[in-house]
Amino acid sequence: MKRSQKPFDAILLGNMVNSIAFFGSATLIVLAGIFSLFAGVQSVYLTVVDLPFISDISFELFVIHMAVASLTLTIAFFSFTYALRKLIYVLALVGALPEGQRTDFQKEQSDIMVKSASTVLTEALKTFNFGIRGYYYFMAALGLFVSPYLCIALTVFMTTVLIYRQIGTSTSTAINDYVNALEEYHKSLR
Amino acid sequence: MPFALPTDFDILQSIAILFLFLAWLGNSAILS
Repeated sequence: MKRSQKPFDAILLGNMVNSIAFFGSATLIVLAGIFSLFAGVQSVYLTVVDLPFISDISFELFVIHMAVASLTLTIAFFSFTYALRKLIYVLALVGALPEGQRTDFQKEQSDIMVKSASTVLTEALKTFNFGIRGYYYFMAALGLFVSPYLCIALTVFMTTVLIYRQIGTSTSTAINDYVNALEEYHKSLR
Repeated sequence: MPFALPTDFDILQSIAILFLFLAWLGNSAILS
């Protein structure tokens, strides 16, 4: 299938860049907050262990729990920056796509370029999704402060929520239907 | 010893932490 809508593609990609950049900077702000807690970690520890539902843990273990929680967000942050980097490659790839192919060879090469650009775009969005999932698992990591059992239970719960949202909702069904219809549409053009 | 884990860092703690990261990786690998 051939279509030439570069300005439209650029608008769509621009919106993606904006949303990934937003998540990147939001995560950076949260991380800055968490890392600043490390400066006064002793007083934070004394405040937290006084809470009735928090298990009586040593200061060292408390620091490990904080490190695990901040590690999840750090990984999420780096996923966002990596996704942004991939998406910027996509901008270059889509921007450089040639138009007006005449020979069969030119069409073949053009198809390869379109396929490569869409692969990089898919990878960028996969990395972005990986970072988004990090927020869910950050919530599960917070359960460590109460009990490791709660952390395991929250991990199972968050995983279930993610699986449900990916395959169980009417949104995901609609997207799948759309993708299937698009594939059939492409087949009919060949 | 320059670095030692706290005594209350038991096997359950490490299982919980490991489970968390494995679930994250596995979830992303399967569902993406």
